[in-house]
Amino acid sequence: MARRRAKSKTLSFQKIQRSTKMLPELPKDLVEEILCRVTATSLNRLRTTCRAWNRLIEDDRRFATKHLEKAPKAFIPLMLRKEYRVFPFSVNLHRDDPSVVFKRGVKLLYRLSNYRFRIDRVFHCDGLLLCTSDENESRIVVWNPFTRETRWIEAGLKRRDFTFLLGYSQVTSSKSYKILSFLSGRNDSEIYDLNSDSWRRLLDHDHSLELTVRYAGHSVSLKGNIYRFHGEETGTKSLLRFDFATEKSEILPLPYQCDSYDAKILSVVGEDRLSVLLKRCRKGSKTEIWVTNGIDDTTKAVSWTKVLALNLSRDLQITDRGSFLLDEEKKVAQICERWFDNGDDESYNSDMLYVVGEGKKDLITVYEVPDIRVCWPAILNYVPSFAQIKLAGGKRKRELPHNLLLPAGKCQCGDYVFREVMMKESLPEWINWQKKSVHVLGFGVLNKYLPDQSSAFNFDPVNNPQEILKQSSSVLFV
Amino acid sequence: MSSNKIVLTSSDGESFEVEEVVARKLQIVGHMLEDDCVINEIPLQNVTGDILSMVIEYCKTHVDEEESEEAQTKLKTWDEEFMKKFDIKTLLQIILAANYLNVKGLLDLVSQTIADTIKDYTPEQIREVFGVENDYTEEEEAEVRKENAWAFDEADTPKP
Repeated sequence: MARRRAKSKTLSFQKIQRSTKMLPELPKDLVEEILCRVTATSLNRLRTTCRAWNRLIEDDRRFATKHLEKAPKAFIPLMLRKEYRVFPFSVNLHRDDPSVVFKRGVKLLYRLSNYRFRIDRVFHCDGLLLCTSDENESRIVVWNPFTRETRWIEAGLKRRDFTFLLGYSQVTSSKSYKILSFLSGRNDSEIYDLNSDSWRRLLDHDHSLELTVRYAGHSVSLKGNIYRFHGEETGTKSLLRFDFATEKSEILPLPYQCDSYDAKILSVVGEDRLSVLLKRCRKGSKTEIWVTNGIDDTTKAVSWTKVLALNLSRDLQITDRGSFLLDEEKKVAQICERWFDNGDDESYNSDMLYVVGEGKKDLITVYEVPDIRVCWPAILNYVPSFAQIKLAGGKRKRELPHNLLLPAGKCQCGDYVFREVMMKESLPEWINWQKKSVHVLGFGVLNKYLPDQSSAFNFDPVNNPQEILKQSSSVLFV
Repeated sequence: MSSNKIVLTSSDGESFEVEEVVARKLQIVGHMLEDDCVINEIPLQNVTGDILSMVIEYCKTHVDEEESEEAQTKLKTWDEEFMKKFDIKTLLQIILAANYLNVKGLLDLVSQTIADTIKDYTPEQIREVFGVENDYTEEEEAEVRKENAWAFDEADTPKP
């Protein structure tokens, strides 16, 4: 490793002499000033320039924040598909046969294993994807697909029904990424801080969060704040903005007031503007897409511009669960939604991408969905970034190998229904631990569909393993 | 508006007579003028005449920064054309000068121009331009390159 390339060293030495003759070396702050303006994908290649540059790009939080602020953004549309994975996509609007073209997808793997995390929901902020899984998984994950960093966060029992949203608070050039978790209609909100690695209850509970309608559609993160629709008993009339700096939410007006909408969806345009798709419940009313010009932080006044007014049939079944991306220049929107067949014959459900503009409409069937329970499709505009999610100060938690890939299936530590600690002397004869290279540490029940609780209390898996083996198809001893 | 003239002298002895408002765009000069009462000639040690003339040209154009959208667009177009004149070595000299003379707008502009210029350079070209030594071993360099292969480049495409 210590062997340097003698030849290239002399070469670069000559070059340095030559260039320094013309130019004194750039001070570090000027190098940063330049590098923070190089797009993420190009900058990634420049990491091989030298160690100092690599450290700056890889490890410097302040630089990562500055880069997010200054570098030109290259947005990449991503789609969460029925495979429970995200894929970059583009749309091919061929006259006869419009289609979606997918690029290679990305696997989100558990540490220390080849087992794939099944993403059933994805939320984007600053190039970070907050993913949850519909599996028996007590954790959520913040993932930077660009730097391939992951941060696994224990969410315990909250995992099941809570909503998790990612944003940040920022003091000068220092950003703290945070996750807001809450259950609609319940006084139970918490914030997880990625810097301190801890959950904390929102003390001054924000009552407006409670009122947030249950199926509020996709929330979005914009400049670190969370935006979602705000529900009242009389219907949805406004937007709710949650600010991670003050930990308060406030109400912002929608472009127009209406008692109820057929569809209402939020999206982000570019880096700093919000967009809403609204269709009021009235026959013949158009689906409108509005974009913010600005939000006045003191008066809470929002200035909206209508960008598109579309004649979309109800048959397209666009609902609050859909998602959309707006191309302002081309005046075209892509709307992603699941379509249900209401016919009498064999049902034919599919995930659709509608490419719509004024006077144009392309309906693309992305794929058929034989089982409607698979994760809902979603599209989002992702931006590659160097946003850092490592624990600060190198304090990295020791993690148990969370998922071991085993022939019998997959094991998730923490998924046990009960556990027993035992001394090796008390191990039954049939566990011949001395002959094993791995010592007996405990056991896990792989099959989450255990016999019901009452019978689980009765059987003794250590001394009577046959019982549990009989009842549960897969048991693992490690 | 004061029509006071100030003479700026470069490290190689070239002198430029400019209006005070233009000279004040160089914050280094602005501070000197605030500290002292009357100065007519200011020596600038760290910048050569050819580069100083470019900086002055920028400051003259940006002397009245109007807020109207039209004026902004016009300035932006001028900036783009102005930057096209320079090769990478000159750009690096301008960034040093903009930093030393403390001209914020020019510093931002030239930083972005350099960033756009180097984005397609190979690491080898970068090292040459920036005078940076490659302190990786061959193995390490390959390792960093491999580590950085982006996740989107490698996994498989969805099955139809």
